[in-house]
Amino acid sequence: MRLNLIILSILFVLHHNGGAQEIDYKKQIAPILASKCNSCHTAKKKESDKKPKAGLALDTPLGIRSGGVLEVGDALSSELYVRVSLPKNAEDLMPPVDDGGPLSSREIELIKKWIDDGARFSSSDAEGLSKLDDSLDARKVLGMPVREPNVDAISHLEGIGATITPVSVALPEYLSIEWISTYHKITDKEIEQTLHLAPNIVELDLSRTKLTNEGLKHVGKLGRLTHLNLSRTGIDDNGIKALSELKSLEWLNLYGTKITDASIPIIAKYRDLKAVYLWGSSVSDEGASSLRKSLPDAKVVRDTDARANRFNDLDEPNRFDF
Amino acid sequence: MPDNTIFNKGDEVSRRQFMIGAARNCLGVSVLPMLGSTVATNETFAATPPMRRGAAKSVIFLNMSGGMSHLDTFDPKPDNDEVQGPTPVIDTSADNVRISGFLPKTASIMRHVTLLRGMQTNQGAHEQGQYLLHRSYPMRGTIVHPALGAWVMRLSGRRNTTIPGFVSIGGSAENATGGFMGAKFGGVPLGSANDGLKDSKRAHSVSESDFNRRLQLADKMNSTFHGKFKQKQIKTYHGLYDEAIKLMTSEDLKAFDLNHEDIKIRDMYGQNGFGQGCLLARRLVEHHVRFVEVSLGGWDTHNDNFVSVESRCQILDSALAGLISDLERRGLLDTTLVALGTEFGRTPDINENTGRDHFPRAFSGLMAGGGVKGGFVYGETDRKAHTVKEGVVTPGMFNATIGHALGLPTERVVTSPSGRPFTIGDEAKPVKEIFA
Repeated sequence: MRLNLIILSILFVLHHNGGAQEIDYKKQIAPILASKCNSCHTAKKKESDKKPKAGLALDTPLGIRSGGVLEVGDALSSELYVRVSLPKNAEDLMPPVDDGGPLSSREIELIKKWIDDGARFSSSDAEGLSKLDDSLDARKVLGMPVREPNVDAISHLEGIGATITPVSVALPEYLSIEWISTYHKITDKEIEQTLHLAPNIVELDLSRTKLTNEGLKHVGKLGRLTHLNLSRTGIDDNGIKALSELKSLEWLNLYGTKITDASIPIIAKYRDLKAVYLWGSSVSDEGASSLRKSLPDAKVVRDTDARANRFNDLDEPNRFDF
Repeated sequence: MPDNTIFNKGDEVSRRQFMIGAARNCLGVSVLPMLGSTVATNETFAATPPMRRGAAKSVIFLNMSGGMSHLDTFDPKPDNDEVQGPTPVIDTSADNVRISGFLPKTASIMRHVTLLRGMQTNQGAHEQGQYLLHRSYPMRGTIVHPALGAWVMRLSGRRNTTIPGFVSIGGSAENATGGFMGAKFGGVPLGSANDGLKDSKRAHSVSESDFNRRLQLADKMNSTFHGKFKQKQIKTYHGLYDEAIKLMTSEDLKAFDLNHEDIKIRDMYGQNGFGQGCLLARRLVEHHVRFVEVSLGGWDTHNDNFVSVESRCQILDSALAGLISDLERRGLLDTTLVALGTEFGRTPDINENTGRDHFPRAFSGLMAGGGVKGGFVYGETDRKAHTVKEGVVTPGMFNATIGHALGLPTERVVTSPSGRPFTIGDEAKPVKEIFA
């Protein structure tokens, strides 16, 4: 290919650019955003139900990263840079002229360089992670204040394959953690690392991971969990016991696990439960019925509608396979 | 297809072909030709969080192409033989909701479904109708509007960044267009569910260690080059390598392979293109693909309406009932919206060929899962199924409602390269009444 030849020849001629001073997000970028942007683009609701302007919160690293305005390493493609660097008479200029815009040329340059350099929020990714607290339990987590999640812990978890998303634009401090295309590599060891974000995690998806009963002991410490997906993991009744303190659970997925009727009394104690999935587990008809009696408002899914309606070609599979 | 679309896409195609060629030559691999449309994306982060908590994470859009008869499917008029013809009517698992007797399995899952019986469009020809259904805007000679899936990609990004976020199975490739947003927001069209993704394996002539060595070399050369020349086009080429490599080594590739499914499950969905497409859609959603469209054609029943619709319904019935119940028992229906749409309905009056003709002013669609009410009916037609009495839903409203289900900012304006403003539903409001 002709272009490859061109690339090659240029490469041999040119040298790599030496490392210049790295921009510090906390010292150099956050103050600009705080003074010029955050009066509108804030996740902190002043009135009830108020959402950040354009659904974009620029006062937290998560808000910035998840707002769709950042193309890491490419300021010219990042709305965060493009919108502040427009000419003064441009309609789309941010901040608007009435609201203190435009930024100074130095501020604009800092934002550009920070994005081009990789838009890092902390100087070193895994550094600064506190040691895991051995005495952590669900009740202790519930007593902790909910504040902006630790950026270092987020970087660390993302580094081991987690996908971390705020549950909504207006709730940046409440997190959902999933292992989207890394699930097959995730063991109890990685799962334990979620404890670094224990006060912030409300949704956890461990479906198809290599989670064992041992790993469930860590999960049992995440006292704020409302949604927990354990489907198609190797856990059984012995593991479920470790979850007895998760009193806020509203949604629990146990399909394709080995749990039996022995776990029903523990599940029946989740008074806020709205849905529990038991298809393909070893829970019996009787077990499901008794759970429905204990939790009359919860949806207990064990069978398909079609089976209940006697369409016999809608049947259970012989195996689960992806 | 109008000629201008080909010319509008001239640049896109040649660039894509170039990139595919570049990867083949550079790395000794052939990159899935249909994947060219996604390789330009460069998303470091996961999808944007939703506007509200508990929003759906994925959409399965079932496209009934050709114009599905509303009377013979979801809006029967059992008390009016004149328009109903011989189509039987049955009770469902939802109280007071009756549908066509051609859909007995679907009847069993109606308690999960909101029926939209007030669908209405202003397009009476197939191509224009399908265009409006997919894109919320009427067809124009001067612009190519993006398909709904491209809007979803644009407003929220992919959740699984190793595989495409927008896949369209079995329909026209037009259904997957990124339009003026560009190919990077477009979808991957798959001809048939059984084919899976092609060319996504390492060529046998290249050993794994050779392959890795080539990658490292390419990487090294590239990073030096990128450090010096930060041009967007060059980045796009880099994106190609990243995507192609991710795909070849990805556990997620299994999502595209239906051979991993139990035969009983394959039978449940129906051993036909649409049924297997719906099964593939479920697998893709399990792998966090955001937008999957599956098309079922053959609804253009000008002749022998009752025989033809019954045979279409057999295919639809197993696939739809199988899909909804399979999603439900896996706990996926809470976060997956299933939406069924068509370009228009068919005349209540039966023509001389025992057929029904095009009828844009009243027809039906449905939505299920993703937070919508179950066993609910929105909209009503008169006793002839001829006029919408209340609850009108236009294609724009339909698409805005899908956007709302996903927690997207449905009022967000996206500007075309020529500077014109567009929204996901052509400024239509979502139908919030159908959400629980």
